[in-house]
Amino acid sequence: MFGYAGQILKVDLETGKVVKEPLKDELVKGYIGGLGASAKILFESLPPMTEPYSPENVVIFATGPAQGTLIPGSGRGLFVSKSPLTNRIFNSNVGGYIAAELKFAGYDLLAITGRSSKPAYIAIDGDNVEIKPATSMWGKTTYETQAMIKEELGDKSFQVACIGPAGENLVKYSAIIHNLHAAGRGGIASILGWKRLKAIAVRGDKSIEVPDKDALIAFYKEIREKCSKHPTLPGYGTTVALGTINKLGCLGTRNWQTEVFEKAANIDGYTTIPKYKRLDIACTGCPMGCGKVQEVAEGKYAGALAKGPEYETLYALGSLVGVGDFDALVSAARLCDEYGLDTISTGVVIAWAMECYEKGILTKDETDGLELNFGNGDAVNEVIKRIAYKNGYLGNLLARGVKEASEIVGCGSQYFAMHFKGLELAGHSPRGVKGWTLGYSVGWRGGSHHDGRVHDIEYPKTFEERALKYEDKPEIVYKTVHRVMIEESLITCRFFGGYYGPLEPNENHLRILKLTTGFDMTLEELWRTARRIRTLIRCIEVRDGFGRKGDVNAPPLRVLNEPIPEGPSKGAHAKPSEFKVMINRLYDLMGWDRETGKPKSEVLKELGLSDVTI
Amino acid sequence: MRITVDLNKCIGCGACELACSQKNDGAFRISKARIRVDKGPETILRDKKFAVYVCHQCENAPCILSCPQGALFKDSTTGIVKVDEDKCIGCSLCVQACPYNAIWIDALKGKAFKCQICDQVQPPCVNICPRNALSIGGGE
Repeated sequence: MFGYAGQILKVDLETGKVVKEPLKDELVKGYIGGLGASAKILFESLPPMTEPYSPENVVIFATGPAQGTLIPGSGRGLFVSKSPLTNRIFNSNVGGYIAAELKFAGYDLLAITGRSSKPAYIAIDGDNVEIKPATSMWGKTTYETQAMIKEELGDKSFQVACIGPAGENLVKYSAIIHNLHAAGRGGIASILGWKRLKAIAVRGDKSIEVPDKDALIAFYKEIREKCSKHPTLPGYGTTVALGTINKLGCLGTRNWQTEVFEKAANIDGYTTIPKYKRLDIACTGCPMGCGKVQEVAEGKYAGALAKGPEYETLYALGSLVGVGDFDALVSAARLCDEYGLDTISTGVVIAWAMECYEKGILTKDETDGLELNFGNGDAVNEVIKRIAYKNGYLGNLLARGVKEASEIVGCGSQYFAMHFKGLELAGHSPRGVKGWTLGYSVGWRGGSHHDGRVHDIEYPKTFEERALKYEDKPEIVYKTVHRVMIEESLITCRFFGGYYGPLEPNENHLRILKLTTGFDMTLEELWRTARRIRTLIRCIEVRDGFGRKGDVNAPPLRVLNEPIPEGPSKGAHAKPSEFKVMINRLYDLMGWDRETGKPKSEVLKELGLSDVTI
Repeated sequence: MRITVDLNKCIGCGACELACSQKNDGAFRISKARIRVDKGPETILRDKKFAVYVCHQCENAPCILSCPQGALFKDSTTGIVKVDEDKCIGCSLCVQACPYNAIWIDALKGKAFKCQICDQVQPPCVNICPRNALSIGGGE
């Protein structure tokens, strides 16, 4: 089978049983791979209302047909499971080298069920799969763990994905770390922690075959040429997005009380890269090389080193917490990577706590003595440690995520708990970019900047078109959501959106599918496949109790009620009346019922899902 | 003649490994690549650089000296160090002898393999590298 390894590996941690199943033709023809294939498997295997922390919950690590080839942007894989933050199914995407390695080991997907009685890790050495004890690694940081496993297995060419202390301690937004990369969002690391699975190590010596290698290499070179001319990503990665978004007046600052950060220039890549950058890094087969390793050379944070920090981290651990001290920011990012925490959620939770502190909702007693004011970079570093180890009242409170923490604290703090559907808000403004109000709200994950993915289209527009006009947003979200479905199933990186996208499923995706698998699909079939995947995910959402109500109630109250107070996007916000019109229109396009949010039966039939009951 | 690496330019993508295995093994299979990238993170954290392993085509090659079968030899016209698979018994003494970690044993075939400069003008690894970190040239 071209483009695929041809097998699914199933590991049950309770019984220790390891099963290898052939990858079925109908699965890849109907769902491509990656997110599509995972959604199909989870729809069939997860009982309705499955508890995230339960033996029944499955954690999938998924690849698609692009992985292990020279398709540019193919260095990514997905962890898919039910998230403890959202209670919905969730895909958390990670770069690096492990996705390709899983295919070289002979598997397209790894599905993990059950719960081990002792700390364990899964060692996959091609056909040889073992569950090994991880007692000596339990409690270790992610960097220590990766080194220990390679040492134990005797070969540094093993690729390791692991959890840190935060995942072990069931911090709800803990991250899985592979190399210097993170499957950050959604807290799937804490599910691994609950399952007592410290890590997955993979090495393989098998082949991935493609139908026409010369054509694929020619495609690589064509995209490589375009990458070499990209104005920012090869040289600066996403670090310079911060200054750009600040100039638009859309940069979440001090817990979104404003969207202009006066210290943006301190932490923007154009300032930091010349001084701090040590190395460019790329994922498997990627000609872009957007990763920038930056290191603090002197001062009290000397030696702190992190990949990036990427734009999302600069937002969450910088402007959102009011920190303009880049050294403290790099250190905070490094701590998150080593403890295994999602930098976005961590920053949003701390920013909420800072606003609570400044408003007197959290007292100094409740912060266990910390002066938790905006801009206090030292405090951010300290809080990260307390969250990872659930130290004290503050650590225990914040480890639950901003939704639950704000419900516990109350006193009006839910108004500024910045999450959609339980997932802390990423760094793209739902007020300044009107399409994002809709994109986040109808996303299956909530506050993820990949669900609606409208900003690639919207940032270049005028203020009126981007922030005030709402009539055209449902069509745009409809298209971008389905593009994400295809790109998360082939699995190509979103940073190739400019070349493969940027708007909707198109000929470029068909070309990638053909180059890897040899499948001849029409554009109409590609669209139907994208809709089939999104609709099936929607069916899981509905089966788990989330329909229209979950979408309508998704935006944080600050987003709906409080216009941006100053700056270039002053006055923009998601008016509830416009929001309702946008949701209704998007439902019509999706073929979802306006009252319940359920996919209509004729749509299920059209997409070949008539046997689905919800 | 050898493949030279500028580690200041390498971004660790491993496109060279993929292109090498495609050319020499007929499929994407990085375990059979004749050029290898140590992708860390241990290397990155320590050196702030990737490490790349590929044959230096040494003048007095330790691998040739170590081989009990005379299976490794230097091509007299090109200077390229080559493996005679008929003679190789897969004992891996060459693997231990190589100071550059640039010769490996194919577990299935039980034979050593290494970079033998598969194309003297446009080697696939040099040709594919997105940052021009690789080049082909003379000298050790």
